[in-house]
Amino acid sequence: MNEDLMGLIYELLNRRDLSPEMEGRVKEELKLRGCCKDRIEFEQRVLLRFREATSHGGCCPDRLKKKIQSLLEEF
Amino acid sequence: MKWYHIFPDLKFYTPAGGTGAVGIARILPMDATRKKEFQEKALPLIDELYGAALRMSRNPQAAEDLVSEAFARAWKNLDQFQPGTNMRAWLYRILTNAYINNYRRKRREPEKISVDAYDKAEDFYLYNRLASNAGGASPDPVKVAVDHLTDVHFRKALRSLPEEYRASIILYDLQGLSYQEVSDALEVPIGTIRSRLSRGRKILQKALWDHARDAGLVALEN
Repeated sequence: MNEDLMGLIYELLNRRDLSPEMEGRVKEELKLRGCCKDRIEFEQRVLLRFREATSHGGCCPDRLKKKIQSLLEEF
Repeated sequence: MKWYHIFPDLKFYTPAGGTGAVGIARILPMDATRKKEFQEKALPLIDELYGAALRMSRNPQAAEDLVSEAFARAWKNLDQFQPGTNMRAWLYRILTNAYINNYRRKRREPEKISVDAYDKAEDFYLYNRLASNAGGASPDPVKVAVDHLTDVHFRKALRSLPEEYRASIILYDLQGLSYQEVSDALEVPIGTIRSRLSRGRKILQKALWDHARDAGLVALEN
């Protein structure tokens, strides 16, 4: 596998583009490269912190939903 | 006088294939089914698209404007959406283009990626750096970096990324799109997306290290 170590860890963390077979191969490759569970958990925590820190609450204000509804009715 | 002068509001579709060198135009109004399909598939994505717009623009008002603009464009150009294809990716593409166009308008010069910044981050792994900085006596690098750095540090790190890398990180790592969806949204090949993600993540980790050092969470290096 040509991915660097962080790339492999993120493949595992995100999983959405991995088939079960590929997931197995990624895990094996990580083991071969000496990547421990702590390291994977660390990267997972960093990723979660980025998501939390940048979500800003995340829900769309009601006035925007109403505005979009009326936009769709105009055309 | 041509028919389209009489009926300017009708949009027409050519069936796939056509006959001979020219397809036969079938004149159909934008049907209620397509509109309904759009409302059913697109409206549930408002919160998600707003979240993405907020991550891109870092400003709630700008995010609202971006999302309104994206929906208005999508609705007006609904005939360009191919039924059965990925509406989520299509909407993200419209949103991202709206953001990029607004962003470019505000900048006078194209952004240059600092080769120096990238080179320094090339092989940077935060975990390794924290662990070696701690020496034998410390604790868990997670406690140091992740638990003591604030949301502001993480946001600043993301802001420090060049726009090309930031867009890929936001769409893939933070918004949860697939490689194909990110590729469709940004209109670049999957290989380019993977490369930007790889470099972007390392720049982010270098930025977090710098924040941890500036906050006194790690020892200064000699």
